[in-house]
Amino acid sequence: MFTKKAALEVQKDIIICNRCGQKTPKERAFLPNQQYYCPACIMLGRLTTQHILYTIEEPNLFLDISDPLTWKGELSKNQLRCSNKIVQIQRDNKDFLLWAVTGAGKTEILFASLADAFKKRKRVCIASPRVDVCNELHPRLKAAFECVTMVLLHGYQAEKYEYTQLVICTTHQLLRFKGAFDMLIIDEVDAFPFKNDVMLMNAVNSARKSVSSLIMLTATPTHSLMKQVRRKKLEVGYLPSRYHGHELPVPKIIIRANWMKELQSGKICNKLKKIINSWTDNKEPFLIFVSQIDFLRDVIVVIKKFINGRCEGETVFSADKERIEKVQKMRDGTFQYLVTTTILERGVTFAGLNILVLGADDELFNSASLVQIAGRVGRSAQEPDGDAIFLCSRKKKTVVNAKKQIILLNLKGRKIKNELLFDVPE
Amino acid sequence: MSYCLMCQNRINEYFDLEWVLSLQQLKKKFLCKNCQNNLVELINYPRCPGCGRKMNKEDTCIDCRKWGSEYSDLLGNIALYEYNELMKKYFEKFKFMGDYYYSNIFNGELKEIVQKKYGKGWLFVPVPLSKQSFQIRMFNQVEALFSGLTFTELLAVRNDEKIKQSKLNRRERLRRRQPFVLNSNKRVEIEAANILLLDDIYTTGGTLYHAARIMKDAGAKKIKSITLAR
Ligand SMILES: [Zn+2]
Ligand SMILES: [Zn+2]
Ligand SMILES: [Zn+2]
Repeated sequence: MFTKKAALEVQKDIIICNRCGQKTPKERAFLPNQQYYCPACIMLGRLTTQHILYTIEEPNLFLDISDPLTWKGELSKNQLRCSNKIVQIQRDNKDFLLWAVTGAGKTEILFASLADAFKKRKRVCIASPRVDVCNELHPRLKAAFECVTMVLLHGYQAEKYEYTQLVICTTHQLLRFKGAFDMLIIDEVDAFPFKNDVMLMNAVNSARKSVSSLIMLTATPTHSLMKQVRRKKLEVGYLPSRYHGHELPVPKIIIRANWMKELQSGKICNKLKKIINSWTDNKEPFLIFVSQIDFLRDVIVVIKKFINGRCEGETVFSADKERIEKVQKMRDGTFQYLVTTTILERGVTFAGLNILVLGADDELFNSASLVQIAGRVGRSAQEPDGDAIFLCSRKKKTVVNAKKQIILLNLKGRKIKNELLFDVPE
Repeated sequence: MSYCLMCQNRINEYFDLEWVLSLQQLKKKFLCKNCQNNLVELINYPRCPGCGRKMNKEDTCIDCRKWGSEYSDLLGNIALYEYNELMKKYFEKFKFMGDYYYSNIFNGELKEIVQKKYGKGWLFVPVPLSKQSFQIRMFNQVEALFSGLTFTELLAVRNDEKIKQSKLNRRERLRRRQPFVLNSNKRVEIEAANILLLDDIYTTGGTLYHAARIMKDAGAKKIKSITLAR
C-alpha cells in the first residue's frame, strides 16, 4: 500500500514542501527553468516541482524477541519510578515530557519502555537535534539491545538507510518518515534548532503513527511545553537529582552597559578581572561563552593580553577543524580556558569548571540555553562547586528567568528530597 | 534580521569603518562578517598573470608556462577568490546540492568586474554544461553566477562527453581530449571577435584552454577568461 503526491505545492507567492512542510517565498525557491525547489530540506537531497513523493504504510515486519534488553545495570529508586511511568505511557500511546536535570541518567530510564516496545514488535525512533548525541547513543543502545536491528542516520555519515526496528537520527532526518513510528523519543526537545522550529515540529508529528507514544526529554522545558502541561494536555515527569546529588550553581548576574565597547577597545572591567584572576590563581578551568563566532577573535585577544601567559587557552567553535584537539587539550589541562560559542554548551564536561557568559542578554541565548550553560559548572562529584557568571549590558527577562529556574530547581530538589514528582512545577 | 547563507549565523547590522572602506556592501546581505573574512580576495595579493592564482611575487606560474608553450597566448584569467575551505563549501551548496539562490552571493561582483574590465567589443561566452549535468542541476552554474550579462553561446559539450570533470584526476583531466564543439549556427560570430570566457572555478586551466583552442581555430582574435575561484 502506498500513496503518492507532488513534492511541492506552488501557490501565488510561495511554495509549500510536502516533505518538510516549510513555506518558502518563490524568489528564494526559483530555478531558471521555471521550476521551484525547497531550500529548507535541501540537505536531504533537493526536491523540485518535478518530484513525486511516495509513502509506504509501515508493516512492522520485525522478529519476535522474548527478552530484548541485554543491559544488566540497575536503576536508582527515582529512576525506576520514572522508568515505570514511561513504560505505561508507551503502552497507552500517550505523550510525555520527562524533565530530567543534566546528569540524571536519562538514557537508562528509557531502557524498560524500549524493551517493552520491541517485544510488541513496535517500531521506535530516538531523535536528537545534535549529531554528537546520536553518535554517542548508538553504541550504548547497541550494547543494551544486542538483538534489535538499528540504524544511525544523520547528514555527516554514510551508513546506508535500512529498514530497522530502531532508528537513531538527527531531528532533520525525521522528515524522511511518514507515519512510521509507534514510539518516538525526542532528546533535548528545548534545544536549537528544534525549539520553535515549525518545520521540525511538523516532522515529529508526521513521522509518528496516529496511534503512538511521544516521549520528550528536556533539562529545561520551554514555555509552550509548560503551557501544554498546565492545560493537562501533556503529562510530565520530574527528575531533579543530579547524579552526584549537588545543586546547580546559582548564576551571578553582572550588568555592565558598555562591556562590548570596552572589550573591543581592549579593556576588561574590574569585576571581571577579579573573577578571572581568582580562576587563574586557583588553577581552575573556565569556559567563556560568546553569542557568535564574530566575537571570538576580539575576546581571545583581550583575554590573552590580560592573562599574560599565566595560563593557556584558545577559541573553539562548532565548525573548527581543530575542535577535538583543543577540547582534548582542555581535558588534559594543557589549556585552562576556552573561548567558545553556544554550540559547545551541551555535552561538554570538565571537572571543577567555571563559566562566564559574555552578553547573556543577547537574543541568541534563551533561558533554556543559559540554564544548560550553568549546568556545565562543577560537573564532577569531586569538584561540584564553581562559578557561573552572566555578563549583560542590561537586565533582561531571559537572564533573570534562567536564574529563577535554577533557584526553583534547587528548591524543589531540596524540598522533595530527591523524590520523583509527577505533578506540575509552578 | 538576516542570516548568513554559509553558516546560518545572524548577520550583524552595524557598520564599522573597516566595513564601509572595504566596499563589501554587495555581499553584505548574504554573508556574515566572519565568513567574508574567510574569503581570500585575490586582488589584494601578487598573482600569476596567466591564471590569477596567488603567488609570493608577481610571476608566471609553472602551469601557465606550460600552457604558454602549448597555446602561445595566455588567458590572463581574473579570479576573484582563492579556492579555499569556504569556497569549497560554497560550491557544495550551490553546485552540488543545487541551491540556485546562492548564485546571488557573488553575482553582483562578477557582473561588475566584467563590465568594468571588458566593455563593448567583447563577447561573453559561458563554459557550457553537459546535457546530463543540466538535467540533474536544472541550471548552468556559470550562467547563474554571471546572470544579467548578455551571453553568446558559442560552445556546447560534445555529446559523448559523459565523464564528470570532478571524477577525473589532474593528469587525466590534462590529457583529456577536446570536450567542446562549436554551436554551428554561431560560427560567423567568432571570426575576428574578442572573447571573454566565463567559468566558475579555474582548476588546471584544461577546460578553459580547450575552449580557447576551438575558438582560436575558428578565427577568434583575442581570448581572455574570468572565474569566481582559482
Ligand atoms: Zn522541504
Ligand atoms: Zn557566515
Ligand atoms: Zn598561472
